[in-house]
Amino acid sequence: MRVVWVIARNTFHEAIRRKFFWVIFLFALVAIASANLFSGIAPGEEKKFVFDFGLGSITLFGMLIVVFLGATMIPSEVDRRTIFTILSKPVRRWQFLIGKFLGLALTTLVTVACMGALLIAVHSYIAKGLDINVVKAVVLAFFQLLIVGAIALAASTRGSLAFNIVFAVLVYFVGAQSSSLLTLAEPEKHLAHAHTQHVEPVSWKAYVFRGVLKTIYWLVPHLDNFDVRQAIVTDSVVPWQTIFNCILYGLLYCSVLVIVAIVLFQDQEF
Amino acid sequence: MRKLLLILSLVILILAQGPLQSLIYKQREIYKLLPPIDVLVLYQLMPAEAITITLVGTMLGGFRGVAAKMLWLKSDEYWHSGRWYSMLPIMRTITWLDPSFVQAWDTAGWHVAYNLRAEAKTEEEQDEYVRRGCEILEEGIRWNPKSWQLLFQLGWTHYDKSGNLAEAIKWFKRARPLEDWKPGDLPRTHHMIAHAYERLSDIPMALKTWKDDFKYEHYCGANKGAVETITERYVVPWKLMEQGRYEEAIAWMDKLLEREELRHSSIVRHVLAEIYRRMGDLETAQAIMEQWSNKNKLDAGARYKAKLWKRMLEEKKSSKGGLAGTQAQP
Amino acid sequence: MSNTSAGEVVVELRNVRKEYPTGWGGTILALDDVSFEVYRGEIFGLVGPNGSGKTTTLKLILGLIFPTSGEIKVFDSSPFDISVKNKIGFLPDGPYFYDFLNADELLDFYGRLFGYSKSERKERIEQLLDLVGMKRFRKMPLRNYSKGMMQRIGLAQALINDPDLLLLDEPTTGIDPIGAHDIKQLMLKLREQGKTIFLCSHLLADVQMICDRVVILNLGRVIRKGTVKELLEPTAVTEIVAREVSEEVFKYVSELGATVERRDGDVVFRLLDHDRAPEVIETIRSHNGHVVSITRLTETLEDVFIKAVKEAGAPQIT
Repeated sequence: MRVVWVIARNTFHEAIRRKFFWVIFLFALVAIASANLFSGIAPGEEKKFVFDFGLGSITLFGMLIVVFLGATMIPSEVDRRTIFTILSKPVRRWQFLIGKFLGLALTTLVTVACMGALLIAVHSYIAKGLDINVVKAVVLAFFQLLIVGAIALAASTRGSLAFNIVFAVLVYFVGAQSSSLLTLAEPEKHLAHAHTQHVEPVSWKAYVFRGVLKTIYWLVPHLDNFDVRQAIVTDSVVPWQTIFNCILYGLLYCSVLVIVAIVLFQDQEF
Repeated sequence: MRKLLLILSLVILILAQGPLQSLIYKQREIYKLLPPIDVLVLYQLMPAEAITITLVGTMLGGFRGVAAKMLWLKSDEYWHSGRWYSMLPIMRTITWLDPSFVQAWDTAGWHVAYNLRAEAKTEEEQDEYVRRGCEILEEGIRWNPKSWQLLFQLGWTHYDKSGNLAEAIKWFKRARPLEDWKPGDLPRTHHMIAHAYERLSDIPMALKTWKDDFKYEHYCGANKGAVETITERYVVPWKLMEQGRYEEAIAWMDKLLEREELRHSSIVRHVLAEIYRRMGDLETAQAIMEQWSNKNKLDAGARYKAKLWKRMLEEKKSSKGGLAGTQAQP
Repeated sequence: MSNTSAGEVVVELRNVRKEYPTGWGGTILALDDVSFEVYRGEIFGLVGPNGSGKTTTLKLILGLIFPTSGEIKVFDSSPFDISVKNKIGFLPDGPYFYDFLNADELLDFYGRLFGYSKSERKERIEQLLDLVGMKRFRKMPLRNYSKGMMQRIGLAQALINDPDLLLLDEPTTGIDPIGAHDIKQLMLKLREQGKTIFLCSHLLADVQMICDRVVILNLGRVIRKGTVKELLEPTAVTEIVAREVSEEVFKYVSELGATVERRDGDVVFRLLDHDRAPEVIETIRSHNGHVVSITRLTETLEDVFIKAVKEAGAPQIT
C-alpha cells in the first residue's frame, strides 16, 4: 500500500506540472466563470444555461484532461525509460498500475472539485441559492470521468498513444449513448414511449443488427448513468439511492478496468 | 494461478454489473433521468438522420443545451426572413437536443398551429396544422410537465384554434396549480377556464369559476363584472331550461339577442344552441353554431361544435330509427 | 585481482534464449543459448557490438522481460521475486528521470519506494549527493541537467538502497574524462566494499582496466568469456629488439617460429613462446649482436574483441 501511495502521489505531482493540463484546466475555469456572460442568448433561462454550459465544460474539458493523462501515463514512462528504474526497485507491477490509476483519480478529483466548486458558486449566485442537484451532478461527473480515465489507462498498457486516445474517446461517445443502443436493440419494449405504433417484422438482418447492438451495450460503460441533467433542468429530484447506485457502478466498472489493465500489464515487456 | 484469480474476479465483477445496471436503468426510467434524445422515435421518423443526430448530440455532450440555443438563434433568422417551413426541422432538432428548452416547444407549437395554419389552403389542412401544433406542445409537456407556459399555451391553442373547449379546460386546469408563473399568469389561467366554460355553455361552472376567482385575491374588476353579467343574462334561462321550460328559456334568449350590445356576443349563441340541444333539437343547435361560426371566424368553439354536431346528425340519418344521441356531450 | 571463480554466484544465466515478436507473427532472435555466471565481489563486464543483446540480458536479469527458454537466477531466486529487488541497483543507458523533480525530490521518491523513514532518506540522500558530487545542484530541476549530471544522479538512485548487486548500462558514456574517471574509481571502491558490479559497456579500455571477468556477446551468442587475463594471455608475445644481427641468427630464430621485422636498422623478433626468450638472447649475443630491449606484449581487449567478432562473421562494430 505504501508503494502504491508513493506512485500515486508522484503521478499526481507529475500531472499537475504538465503544461497541457493547465491550459485545459484554466480554459475550463474561464469558461465556467464566464457562463453567465453568454446566458443572454436564453432570456428567462439563465439558471439552466449556466448549469448546461458549466457542466458541459466540466465533462468536455475533464474528458480531455483525463483521456490525455490516462493515455500517456504508461507510454511516457516507457518512452522515457523511467519505468525501468521503478520496476527494478521493489515495486510489483500491479502496485505500479494501481498507483498510476489512483494518481489519475486524484488528479481527476482535484480538477473536478475545482471546476465543480466554481460552477456551484456561479450557479448559486444566479439562482440565489444552492441547488443540491448541481452538487449531485458534479459528483456524478467525477465518476463518469474516472471511468473514461480508467479506459485510457487500461488501453495505454498495450496500445500506442494515438490508438489509446482514439479508443478512449470512442468508448466515451458510445458509452454516453449506451441506453440508446438498448432502445434500438429492443424496440418492442420501448414502443410504449413512442409515438408511432408501426413495428416492422424482424428480419434476420435486423436480428443480427440487434444482437450486435446488445453486445456493444453490455460491453461499453454506461456513461449516461451519470447524466442527470434532465432532472436538474426540470427541477425534479435526483434520489440519493440513484446517486449511490451510480457511484457503486462507477467503482465496479473502474475495478474491472484496472484488473484488465493489470492482466495486460503483467506480461508486458519493456 | 494468480492470473486465474484475476480473471475470476473479473468475471464476478462483470456479472455483478448486470443487475446493478438494470436497477439503475429502472430508477432512471422512474425518475425521468433518461437521456433526452429518444432515439427510437427519431429512428422511426427519419432513420437516416437518427444516427447522425444521436452521434452529434453525444459529441456535444453537456453542450447539447448550448447547441440548441445556437440553433434557436438560427431559427430566429429564418423567421425574420420568412422561411417558415425551413424553421420546422430546426425547431425539431432544437427540441431533440434540449427537450427542457420550454421556449422552443412553445414557439414551435405556436408556429405550426397559427402561422402554418394561416398559410394552409383548405380547411382540412388547417385542422391538420392545428392538430400537429397541439401534438408538439403535448410532447413538450411530457418533457416539462411542470411548465405553466406550455400547459397554458396548449389550453389556449385548443380554446382559440381547435375549439375543443373540454380539452382547453383540461390543460388550463393542469396549468392552474403551478407556482412558477409570473405576475398575472394566475388570473389569466383562471379567467381562461371561466371563458372556456362560458363557451362550453356550462353556466353554473362558469359562474362558480368566476366566483372562485375572488378567493385567489386577484380581484380585478373583470371577475366581478363577469359574475354580474352572467347572473343578469343567463342564470334565468338556464334555470328555466333545467326545469324543462325550454320555450320560455328560448324566448328569454331571443330577447337577449335583440340587445344592441350582444350583437357580437358568442356566449349568447352558445347558450341558445345548448338549450336547443338539450331540448332535443340538435339540427337547430347545429344551425345556430354553423351560422355563428361563419359570421365570427374567431370563435373556434362554435366551429368545433358545428362540425361535431353535423357529423352526429349525419350518423343519425344513416342509422335511421335510432333514438338519437341527444345526450352526447360536445 | 580477486579470487572470483571460487566465490558465491550472484547472477546465473543458463541456456537462455530470448525471441522478440516482430508483430507480424514472426520473431527476432535476440539471445541464443546464453550461459554465464557473475560472482560476488567482482566487476563483471558484458561487452558486445550494438544489437548484440547486452541490454536484453540486463532486462532479463531485472525481470523487465521474460525469457523464451532457459533459466535466470539472481541471488538464487527468480528475477521476478520482489525481495531480490531490495538487493539490486540499476542505472539504465542514457538515464532519464521525472524531469519535473529536482535531485532531492527524485532520490526521496526512490527512497520512499524502499520504505525508508524520513530520517533514513535524508541521511542517505546527503551521502549519495556527496558521493556523486551533485550537492551543488540538488535543488535544480532535472530538466535543466546536462547528460553527465543525469548520469551522476542516475548512479545515485541506483545506490539508494545500498545494493549488493549494481547493474550499470554504459555508465561512462557521454561523460567528460574526469567524470568517467570518478565513476571508475567509485566502482573500484564499491568492489572493495564487497559489492558486485555488472557492467555493460562498449568502452573496452575501461572494461579492460577495471573488470575482473568479461563476457563478449555477438548476435545474441557468447563468443568469449573468462577473466581478463584468460582472454588476453593467449595473445601475449615477447618482443626482442636487437642490432647487428648476423644471418645465422635470422635462420635460427625463424626456425623457432618467431616473426622477424626490420625497423630503422634494428631487428624486431616476436616470440610466441616466452620460455625460448633466454635461448634467443643467448644466440644473438654469441654472434656479436646487441640486445636493445626485451618486452612482454599482450593485445588490448579491443584487439581481442574485434578479432572475435570478425571470426564470428558478424557485422562490424559501428
